[in-house]
Amino acid sequence: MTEVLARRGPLAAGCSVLLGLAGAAGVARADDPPAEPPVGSSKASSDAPSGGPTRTLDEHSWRRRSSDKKQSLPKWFAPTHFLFALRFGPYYPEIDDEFGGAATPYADVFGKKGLFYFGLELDWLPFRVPYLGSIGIAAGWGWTHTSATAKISGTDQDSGADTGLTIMPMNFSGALFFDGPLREYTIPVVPYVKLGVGLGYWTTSGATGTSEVDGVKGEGLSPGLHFALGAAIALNAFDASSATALQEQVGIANAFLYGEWMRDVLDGIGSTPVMEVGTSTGIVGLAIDF
Amino acid sequence: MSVRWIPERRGRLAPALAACVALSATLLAREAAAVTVEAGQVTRTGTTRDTGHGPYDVSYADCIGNNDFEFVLSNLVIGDNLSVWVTGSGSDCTSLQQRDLGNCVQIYAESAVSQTSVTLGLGAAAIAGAMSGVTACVDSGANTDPRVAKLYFMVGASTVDPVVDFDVYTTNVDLLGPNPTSLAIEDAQPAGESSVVVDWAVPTDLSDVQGYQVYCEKAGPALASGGTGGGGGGGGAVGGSGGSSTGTGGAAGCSAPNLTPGEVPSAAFACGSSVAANTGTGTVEGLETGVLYAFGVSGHDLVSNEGKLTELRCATPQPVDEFFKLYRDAGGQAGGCRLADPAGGLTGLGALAGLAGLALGLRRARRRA
Repeated sequence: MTEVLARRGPLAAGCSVLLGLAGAAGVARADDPPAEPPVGSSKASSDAPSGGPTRTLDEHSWRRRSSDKKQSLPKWFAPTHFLFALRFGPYYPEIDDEFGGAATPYADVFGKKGLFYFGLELDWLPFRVPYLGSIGIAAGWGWTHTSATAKISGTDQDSGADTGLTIMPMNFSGALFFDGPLREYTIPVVPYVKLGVGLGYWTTSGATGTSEVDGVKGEGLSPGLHFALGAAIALNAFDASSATALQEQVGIANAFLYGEWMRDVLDGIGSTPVMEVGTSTGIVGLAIDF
Repeated sequence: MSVRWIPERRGRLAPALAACVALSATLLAREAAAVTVEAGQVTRTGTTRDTGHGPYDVSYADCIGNNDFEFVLSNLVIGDNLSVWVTGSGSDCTSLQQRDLGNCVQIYAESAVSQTSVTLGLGAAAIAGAMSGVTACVDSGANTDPRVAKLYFMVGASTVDPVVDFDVYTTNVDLLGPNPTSLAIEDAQPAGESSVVVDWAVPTDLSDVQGYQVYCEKAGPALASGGTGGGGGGGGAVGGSGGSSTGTGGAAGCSAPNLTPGEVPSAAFACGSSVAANTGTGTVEGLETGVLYAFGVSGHDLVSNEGKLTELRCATPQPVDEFFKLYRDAGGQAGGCRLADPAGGLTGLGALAGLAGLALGLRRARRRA
């Protein structure tokens, strides 16, 4: 997805004025393969004194194979195939859904306000579909926490203890970024979709550490499904000079501002019992590649 | 006349001049090898406290626990008299006048040392006792800061004067805990069926505060006559007459047999571990459910001197509604850190493995291409 601003087609090249990135011809990225030399030529052969017998690199097939292998690995794992994202948004745990309205322990203690959610995500997008987009996988980790003063049992009176809940939603998904229009036509909007599995680690706490009731520790894992639908805006398109400076000074090639709807159904995938710590919420974030 | 006069005068001055030269020579010789308290060879005889801070200071525990000093002195002259004087006022103890005025206290004397190097033991209590206002390791002064004590190791022909040679060792005498007036307990509230949270106001000046210790004891019978909390008679049941059912009590009427505000508490009533200087809350665990307890706090300084106890607050440990308890009470069955039941776990893991397989397959296909 992120090589698009460098590997432009003819139309993209025309838009380089808008992007301001190194002229209309564009600038090849460092990881772009070098132009193939003519068959039989090499630096060794061209530098060799004329007239004498010359051994060229082409004669050493082992060397060529070794060189090819070295080049193929970075192509898969080139920095431009990776996207690192910071994520923020409200989080609404669906814990009370487990009780079907018969009880609302979460809302009773913590209320109904959204929690602050912070997350990190790493996307690896090694496959390109021409004119469509990039396909890969995404792994995410998030954190959210809430706490309240616990009531003395059977009363509405505050105790001296806080009770808390911490959730770490994680996910591992397949990801499809529709970045073809950006690559081919420099349209700076990239819709995307992600679908995969999620896993929520949760832990509850009281005055003396992790809560415990009848010998059961107040912590657990809730597996489920993860789904996300969003769109990213390529910020480089709006301030090309800053983008160029950012790349030169700190190595950030592309930056995207994105918003998505995230749905985590962490209900155990049909199994019980799990605490349903999933959510349905809107997330905003910033993604970069190098 | 002058010719006769000069030899005559010289003749009378000659013995004094010779003595002066001899004394100067002696002093110069001592100058070259002065008596020395060997740095790095000062040791303590006991380990009555955490020596992380001021290991060579004299704390209250050092004083009463005989955590004494051993000094190695070198460059002594055999036959000399040795004495050790202590001043807490910064006076120059080599001055006879200062010693006569009582600004220096002699804590050791030995006539005619027999070796050029000796190991000298000095009691911590003796050093502390040389400070003004200190008797039997109790400092009656109001200043709780460490006090500088200078030890003068002096040799000479006499134990009084003149002092031929000396060395000085400086330490601190600190027998009092942090200033108790800057520490105040604010609240004690039940935090569970066997725990209580105690809150206090952190002093603004923490220069001589290492941390705090909560002290607790079952409330004494005197509690029955007062307090806003729910303490029943005998320090027992929750919800005494006229009190709220929370079992908390104010400063007034909250008392315990062995915890007295304004006095240094006994370590036997320490509850839980101490907390850091900038912490204003602590949780006491392991209490009996439904029993009224009195709580107080004291600070301890950098050399572990315990300060005086604050006023007391009373509270009764009793169950509180933590979120997980309410969740379980409502019928929720999650917990124990398990990944659902085997079927659920396998489903999740299967989906995960499927995705990983898909990624690998695509990668292989790409490689073949």
